[in-house]
Amino acid sequence: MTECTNDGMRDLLPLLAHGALGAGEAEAVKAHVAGCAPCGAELAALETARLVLRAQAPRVDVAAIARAVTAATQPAAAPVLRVERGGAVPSVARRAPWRSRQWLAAAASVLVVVSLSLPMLSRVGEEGAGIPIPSSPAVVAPVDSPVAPAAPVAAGGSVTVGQTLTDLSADDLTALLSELEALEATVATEPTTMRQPIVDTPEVL
Amino acid sequence: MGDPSARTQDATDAELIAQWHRGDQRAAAALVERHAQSLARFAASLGERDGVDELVQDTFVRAFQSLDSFRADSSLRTWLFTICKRLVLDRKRAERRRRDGVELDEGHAVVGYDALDGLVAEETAQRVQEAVARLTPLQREVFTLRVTEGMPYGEIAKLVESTEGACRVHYHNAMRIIKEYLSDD
Repeated sequence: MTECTNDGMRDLLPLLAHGALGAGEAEAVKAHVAGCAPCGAELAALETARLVLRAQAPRVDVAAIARAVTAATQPAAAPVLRVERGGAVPSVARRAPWRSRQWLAAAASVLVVVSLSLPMLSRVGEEGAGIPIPSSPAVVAPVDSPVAPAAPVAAGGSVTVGQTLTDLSADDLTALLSELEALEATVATEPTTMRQPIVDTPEVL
Repeated sequence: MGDPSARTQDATDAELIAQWHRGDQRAAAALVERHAQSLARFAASLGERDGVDELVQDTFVRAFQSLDSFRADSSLRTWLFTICKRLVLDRKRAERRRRDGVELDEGHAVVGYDALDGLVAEETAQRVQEAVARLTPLQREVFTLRVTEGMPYGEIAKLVESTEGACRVHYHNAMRIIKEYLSDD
């Protein structure tokens, strides 16, 4: 049997068999096939081959594969972008609470030490007439008060005897940290003059 | 809001991929449902008969794991077929190493035609099967992709790593062989 010389139409026969042509194009190809014996024979062979090839393919359990693929591609337990109110904001994965508490507790310890030493430095400044160290608003315990070194320093100056830093809430520790930062800004001011401290002044540190 | 299943059913592959990136696992299932059987047919055209479920599943898992590298310069189906073909070639290499060079995809298996349901005479179907078995692997691959998937020549060319013109030649040669075999008495 001779073959059709219209290569364009021959190219479209598999797409017609597959149902992949638009309505207009399909009608044009069908009209050509109706008048072309070689294309008619080729289309018939194509449709038969298509049926046979599709039928002989192994049937797979699509639902089972979908379940397995979905399970295999689940995202790992990692920080996830969540849409917060007001827009998508990357939220950090939850940190272990103890880590932030420990960090805040350590910072608060430094605050206590600095707070306890500030009155002493202030007194020295007064006596030495030259060290302009302003009194800290975060001073909560005078040097001679019966407060253990590990005593908590709460914002506002209240001290509860017997508590430790780890007893404080995260909010209290955060407030202490803020006070510490304020203290650091204050202490960073360099004195313009300095005198030698009185030698017999007891050191707190 | 609309029916979620309708949302995935009508969505394009690109839309489903975007939904999956946003964490919608139903989009992954929809893509599997859409392309799994075609992948199975393609695997069969490459000579695979056993473990096709596993092959299809591995194809999708690899695809989703590397979806970021899908550039959309070919269709998703073509990209899936490419992954599947690499897995089939890996399998064949492993089998060859075990069986010392026996070609497994030269039409050894004769499969039943239960799914034809009388649409095609059994004898005709048998002849089609035998005719396809006479094609070279490349002719069979190109012919199957064109006839069963309606794949454009450009996509076929990417898949078989050839040119559109060469793929057209392979297809027409395959078609001639099949027509001649079917017309023989």
